[in-house]
Amino acid sequence: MNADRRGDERVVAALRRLARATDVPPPDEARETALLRAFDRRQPARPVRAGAWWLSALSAAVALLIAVVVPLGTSGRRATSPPPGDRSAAHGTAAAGGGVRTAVPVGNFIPWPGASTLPPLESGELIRMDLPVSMLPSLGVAPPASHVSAVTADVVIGQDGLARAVRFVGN
Amino acid sequence: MVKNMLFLAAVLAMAGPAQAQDNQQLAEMKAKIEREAVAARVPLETITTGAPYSAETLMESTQALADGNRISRKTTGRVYRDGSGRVRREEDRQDGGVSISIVDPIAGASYVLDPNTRIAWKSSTNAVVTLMKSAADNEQQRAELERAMAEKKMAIARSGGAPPREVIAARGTLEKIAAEGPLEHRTIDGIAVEGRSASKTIPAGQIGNERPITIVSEEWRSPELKVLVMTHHSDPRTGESTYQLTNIIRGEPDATLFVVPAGYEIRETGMRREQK
Repeated sequence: MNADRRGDERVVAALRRLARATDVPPPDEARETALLRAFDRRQPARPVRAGAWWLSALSAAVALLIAVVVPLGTSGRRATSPPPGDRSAAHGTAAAGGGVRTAVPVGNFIPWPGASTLPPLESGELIRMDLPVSMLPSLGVAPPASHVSAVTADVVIGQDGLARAVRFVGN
Repeated sequence: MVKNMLFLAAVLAMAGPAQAQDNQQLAEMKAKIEREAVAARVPLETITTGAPYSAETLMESTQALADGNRISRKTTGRVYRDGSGRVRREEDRQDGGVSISIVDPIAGASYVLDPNTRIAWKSSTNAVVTLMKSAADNEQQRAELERAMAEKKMAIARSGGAPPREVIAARGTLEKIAAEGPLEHRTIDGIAVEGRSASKTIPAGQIGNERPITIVSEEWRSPELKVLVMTHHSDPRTGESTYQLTNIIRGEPDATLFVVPAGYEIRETGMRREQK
């Protein structure tokens, strides 16, 4: 029992490592549409026979597997982030992804929530860190469609320790 | 470092219940940021010449929780600036160490010193200036937008007419109304300072709030030293925070403070995503 549990934990840990190391592009609508059409063509309208339900389930599972595995196979590991201030590099990284669309704006600073009420930025630090995807909506940014749990960002922190602005770095 | 950890705590607090559920993931993230914190930092400074000083820095924040609990944090450090605009900042860390940064506009470089690894992470001050300008432009654009909107609202109020369409459209992104003005001049720690206060209100219902939320920000600046001597920020949503310079000493600090100490390995970039 314990061995099974340890095995499960190892699998979960490995999947998490894989998830962190892999950037999955958003769903390809054209590919998805073509897949659905092909699926429809293979399934002419006819009464569904009792007992054949598993065929539909199997087809759906195969389609889901293709949708998940194909992007995994075509995407590489995360690239090294560009240095701060290298805006073109940040844009370039996004562009190098083969025109992958992302809802997260890369390169430009956006104000941190509530920063408009803070004293002026006189000194501070730029800190590169991974922000949880769950906090993107509070920054006014739509989370990416991929399964990533964190996005790399440069956060400007003022002399008082309070955040002023954030920009997202292309992965 | 302490400041970074305070910020991290705020980030994690904002991350939401979903993140809070995965304690292991949060712990991993925290450990990762702690590991990279020194390497993944670039100091930012407004370059000011001809006004040398040294002082101690104090940052305090207090947050009152809904259950009556309170979270109080305090960070201390030191700052040194010479007449040519070089700045050294030291921040006391919770582990007893000190985080040190040096910005040297003469050499065109800034450094973050890691006493544990004896590595000085070097960045170009051009990048620092660009970053400061970018952040400042951001603030300026926002201020100009708010000012323009306030003027438009005043004009509407004077004419007694209905608000034009663009005001209605912009209201969703401009929920705060500014009211600002000078404070009485005073002396802090023997330094004459000029004060300014800005009060902003989030009207009731704007973000689901039953009553208006008032945010107050005050700043005291020394015209002589050209530096913020004290700031105070009060926001019911996040609590109160204060930044203050104490024990201010006019005059040139020791020149050796602005030089990377011997025995440090200088690495060309101050920003590394992963520390090998």
